[in-house]
Amino acid sequence: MNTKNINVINDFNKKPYGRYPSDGSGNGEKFRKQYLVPALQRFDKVVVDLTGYNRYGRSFIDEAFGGLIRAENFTKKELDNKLEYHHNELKSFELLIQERIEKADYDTTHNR
Amino acid sequence: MIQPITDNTLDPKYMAVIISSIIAVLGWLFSSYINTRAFRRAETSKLKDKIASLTEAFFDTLEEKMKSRTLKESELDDFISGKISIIELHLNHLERKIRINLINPSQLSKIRSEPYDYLTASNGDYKNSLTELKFSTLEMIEESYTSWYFRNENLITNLLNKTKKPAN
Repeated sequence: MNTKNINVINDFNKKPYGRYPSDGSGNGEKFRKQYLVPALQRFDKVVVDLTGYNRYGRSFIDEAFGGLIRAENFTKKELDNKLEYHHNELKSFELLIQERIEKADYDTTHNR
Repeated sequence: MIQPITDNTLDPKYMAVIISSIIAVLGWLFSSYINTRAFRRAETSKLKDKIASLTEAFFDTLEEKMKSRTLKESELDDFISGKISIIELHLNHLERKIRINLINPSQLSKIRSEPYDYLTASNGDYKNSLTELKFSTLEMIEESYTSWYFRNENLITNLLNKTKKPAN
């Protein structure tokens, strides 16, 4: 099984922030399109390390991870099997990602 | 008549010195333990109060911010992510040092997420939801602290009870 490790701070941006490109260069949409989607398409397992930055907003998390279901047509089952994420210091971010993926899945299946 | 002291017996005066030394050391260890425990409790109580104050101040400011009809998602990002991360780092410090978990990560995640939904709620009744979130968090802090406090208290009581002889 081939695994892709993505370190948000080292690979993407030192200060990830916002939802869309208008919010800045470290936005969630850019992270999703340039890092998450290609990795999920090419690898069996994608491990995202969020450690090193402690001020992720919900908009970044929602756009990057929830957007995988809303905008990129991944299913929750696919993400459960292929995607792992962790923040070594602040565990609430892991639960926030999980919650945003579940919300996106709910909204998509209920056509919201 | 003075008894001769053989090689195998200890002089009673030395025996008394040894026994009193042991008692002194035990007493010293016990008082040191009591002092450390009291210090730890005082420190935990101080940190718990600090976290409760930070949490209360966070919700009060959030309520003020949400009164504004022009509040943007990015402004909530700036405010919530910074403040809650500081609180979570304080909580981690306490958990590593004293093994007490005052607010669980699931509640913190809820605080990081729910206020955004109030912005888009159709009835605009964010106040009740925010108050509910605030007090459920403050209650969690107090309940976790009480549970930790009496867990430690019971540990000592159980230990003392075990050392007592069973009543006939």
